[in-house]
Amino acid sequence: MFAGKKNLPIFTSEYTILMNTNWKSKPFVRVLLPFVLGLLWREFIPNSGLFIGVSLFSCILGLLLYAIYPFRRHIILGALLMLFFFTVGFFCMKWSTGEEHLNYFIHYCDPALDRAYIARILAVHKKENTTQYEIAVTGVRRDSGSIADLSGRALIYLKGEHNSFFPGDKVAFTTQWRHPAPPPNPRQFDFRKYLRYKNIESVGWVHTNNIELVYRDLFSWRYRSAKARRLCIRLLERYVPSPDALAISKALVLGDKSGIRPEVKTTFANTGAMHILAVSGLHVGIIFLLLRVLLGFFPQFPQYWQQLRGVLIVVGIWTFTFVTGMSTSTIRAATMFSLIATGLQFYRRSDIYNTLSLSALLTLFIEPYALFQTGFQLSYLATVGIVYFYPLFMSFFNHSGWLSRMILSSLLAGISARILSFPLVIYYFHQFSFAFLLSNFIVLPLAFVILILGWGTILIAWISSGISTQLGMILNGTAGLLLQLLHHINHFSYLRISPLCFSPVVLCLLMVSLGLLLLTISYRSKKIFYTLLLLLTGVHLVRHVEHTTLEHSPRLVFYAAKHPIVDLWLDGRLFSRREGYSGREEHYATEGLRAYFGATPIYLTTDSFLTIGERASLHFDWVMYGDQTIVWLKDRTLPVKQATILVIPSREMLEEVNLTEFPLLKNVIVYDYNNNSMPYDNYRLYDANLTFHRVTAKHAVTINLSSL
Amino acid sequence: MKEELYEFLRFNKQEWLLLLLIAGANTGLWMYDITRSPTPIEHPTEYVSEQILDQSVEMPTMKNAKRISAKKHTLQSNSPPPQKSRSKGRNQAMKKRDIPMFEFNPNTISSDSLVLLGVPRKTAETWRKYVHAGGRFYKPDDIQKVFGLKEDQVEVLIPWVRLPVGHNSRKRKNRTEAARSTRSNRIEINTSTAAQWQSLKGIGPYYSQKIVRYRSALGGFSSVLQVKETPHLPDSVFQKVYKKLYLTQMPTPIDINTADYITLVKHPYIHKKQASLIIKYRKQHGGYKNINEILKIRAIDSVFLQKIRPYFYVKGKEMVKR
Repeated sequence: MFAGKKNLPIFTSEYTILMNTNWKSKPFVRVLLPFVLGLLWREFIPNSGLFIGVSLFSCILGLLLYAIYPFRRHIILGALLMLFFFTVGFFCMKWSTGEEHLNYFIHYCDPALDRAYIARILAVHKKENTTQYEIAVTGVRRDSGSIADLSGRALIYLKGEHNSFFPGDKVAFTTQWRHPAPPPNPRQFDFRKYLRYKNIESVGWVHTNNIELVYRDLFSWRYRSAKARRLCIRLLERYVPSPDALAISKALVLGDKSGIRPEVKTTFANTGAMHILAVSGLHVGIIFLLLRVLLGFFPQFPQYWQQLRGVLIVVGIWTFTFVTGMSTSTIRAATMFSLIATGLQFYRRSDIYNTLSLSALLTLFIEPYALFQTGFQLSYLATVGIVYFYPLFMSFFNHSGWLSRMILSSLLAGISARILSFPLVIYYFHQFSFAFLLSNFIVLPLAFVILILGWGTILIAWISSGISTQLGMILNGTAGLLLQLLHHINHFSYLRISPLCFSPVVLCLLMVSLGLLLLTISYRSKKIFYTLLLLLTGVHLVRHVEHTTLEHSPRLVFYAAKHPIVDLWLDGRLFSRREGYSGREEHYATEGLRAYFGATPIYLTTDSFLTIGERASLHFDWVMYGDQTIVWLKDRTLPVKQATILVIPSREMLEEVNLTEFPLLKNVIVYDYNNNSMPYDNYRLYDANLTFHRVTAKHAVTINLSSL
Repeated sequence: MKEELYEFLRFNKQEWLLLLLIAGANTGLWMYDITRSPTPIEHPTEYVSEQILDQSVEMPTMKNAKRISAKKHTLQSNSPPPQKSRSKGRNQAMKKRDIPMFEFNPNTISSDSLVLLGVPRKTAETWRKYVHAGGRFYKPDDIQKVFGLKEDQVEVLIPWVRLPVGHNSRKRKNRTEAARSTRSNRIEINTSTAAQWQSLKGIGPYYSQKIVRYRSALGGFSSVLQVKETPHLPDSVFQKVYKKLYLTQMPTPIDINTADYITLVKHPYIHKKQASLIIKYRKQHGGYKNINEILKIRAIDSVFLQKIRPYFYVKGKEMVKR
């Protein structure tokens, strides 16, 4: 991820002391650990009473020990400081939740009285058919009297493309707030959780006529930043002709991902090059490197120039952040790199881990929920991986040739960036691609070139549009080339392990074992190494148990989707029956569960007749497995008498079926998308043992065949 | 291992100071944040002025920023109902009145309401006549212009005058309410009504009517540039507005194999000669297999085909026999 910076002094002997186990130089690393633990405690055990009890108890214990025990008192004090940061972490997390605030806007919302909500726009996201505004609500307006000074974030959707408002604007709008429900299907993407980690609880649709600008501060930094970004986008649009190249260069240079087609996105994701599309550490790193090289041409200049250089680099980084729209990830990266630059300039001996920890600490202080955001986790893990492993790997090789060195360094940077982050990548994206080994060679230099060309085009456009046109053509070609090459790499599908998934338990165990790996290398301790091996065996065992108990237990999963989809997990294989195809929606509903078990479905068709040994035979409308017979009831056709599980496609049809015709019937599954309120009690009269399951738009049904 | 742990827990004085300072400042900030309580405001206009919410907002740009802020200032300066002048006014000029004062728009108020405000019946009639004849009040002080209104009456009335934000631009006089509500938006050229067209600067009742008529004759626009072809619509007006136009709804095409002569002739792109040729060819050859087949008619060229293609199609693959 950060291979572009390979020539920086950060990675040379002066800065990184390999296998540095000296805790003295890392106060922030030491404090970060209890702080993060505090955050995690609040997230997973939200009971504050328990927490206060535990921390008070340990605090009193520490003080008592301090009073009684005469030796090593500073260590007890140190432990108390750790405890303090642990507590601070807990309360930071607690207080960052909207509900905890006295003036949280949902407490004051009353749909009957509210005429309009007043909010400040924080960010604008353009999606395919909608425009999303992330807002901070500041007030409610009513006929009788308004309430001002409210707080809390929300998300509003507007239909179509909407360009009238910028970040920083104050708007008035009317909407009905709703709180997203948990996902209906097992292991589906949890939008509610995603929003919660952005500190958002409520969303609302707003009609275009019901939103209006109240106040625009022409000199607010948010507005200026958005305006500057839009100007730069216009310039790029003028000089880069082909749409795909334009979208890629817009994403790379200005962090505007809106124009990229989904297919292009998939190509980037499959080849492990997605990180260059989001403006983040890589881009800020390249700018940082560029500024260092540009400003480093005058080593003979006097001392104050050397001091000024550091300031100029920081200013340059923040200008870049400003123009790319001040997104959270860019601000985070800019914080990190300005701290690094400051460290390099003024304290030459400073420790990179310490600097990184400080930036993480500052970010988490301001927005504790960032800890659970994918971008934050991946970028810090990748950075730490590079900082730690890259010099280690490079020290094994002793190549003098520049080409071999370049190839090697790009390879090793790619590998070391992924060592610490791979469990998370698999956990979030359900695939792991080794294509980065190939794509790194292409992506990093080309990203560098595109970034420079893009900025060249934009800056020179002020002076001469002729040169800019030429530069734009070159940029167009370069971006096109990047896309072409990635397309070719995408064809090597064997480089991609997909679908692949870890359960949270496995993820935790893997992260702990990666931490142990770092400790093993740092301390060269055999004890830790054996613990690591033990833990890895544990990971393997857990995965084995998970898969044997879950994968091989025969199950039926009735998904809640637009068209009825049923997954049959029989003898470790996955069969799927679907009526109609709803494209992306079906993918969203089923992808999570299928990826979790790493299975690709075999689709049953109307004329399929499959057998698995003698245990099972599968048709489109009926399936026999052991002593279970599953029958799909269709338009009152002749039913199969020995059915034990009956699937009825609609609530109305249930009325017409005579359930006494099925003597062996145990389970009835009814698709009830219209949410009919007719009682089910009448049907229980036929047989007390009969169980009804309803599949609704908000509720999927799983039936375990082995437990019947 | 033990020593390592000890070292892990050892902080020097500077570190203590720095860490406690950071953590303390952070905790303080969060504490301040969560204990802040909202402030109820009794009079809504103080918070967001009624005019800004109900009327369309003039978008601030660098050029008119000063003007707008000045306007806001004048609005705010007289927005809260001043208690003092109210009681003073009651004592002096309108002692007999029992009805409380209320806010009003001098451009739209009826004469009865003016009487309720304490204006003599005769002066109220003069006021209405003045407005009816085209007189306009642009700022609260303007009510002095009304003939027969005494100075102390004016003094009492001025604090209650409420004027919408964009009130002093004469151009917006004719606009309808619907037009105002969609002013900041772009226009979908195939679904928007005449009123919505009028929300564009440069298009009034006449041009909007022309555009809508031409659109219905066509059966819907198939591209934004087609708006330019509207009869009587000057190119300058089109150039002014075309950036605000967009198209999502394509016109529904007509089956050329079943369309009769009148349908074809009514379409602005098809001359009656071409229409009769199309019908004749269809009769002779038994229906078009695809739309490109009309090129076989001698009088029809590919330019014509390109023009009418969005409006006509051939249904299915089977031929229609006649």
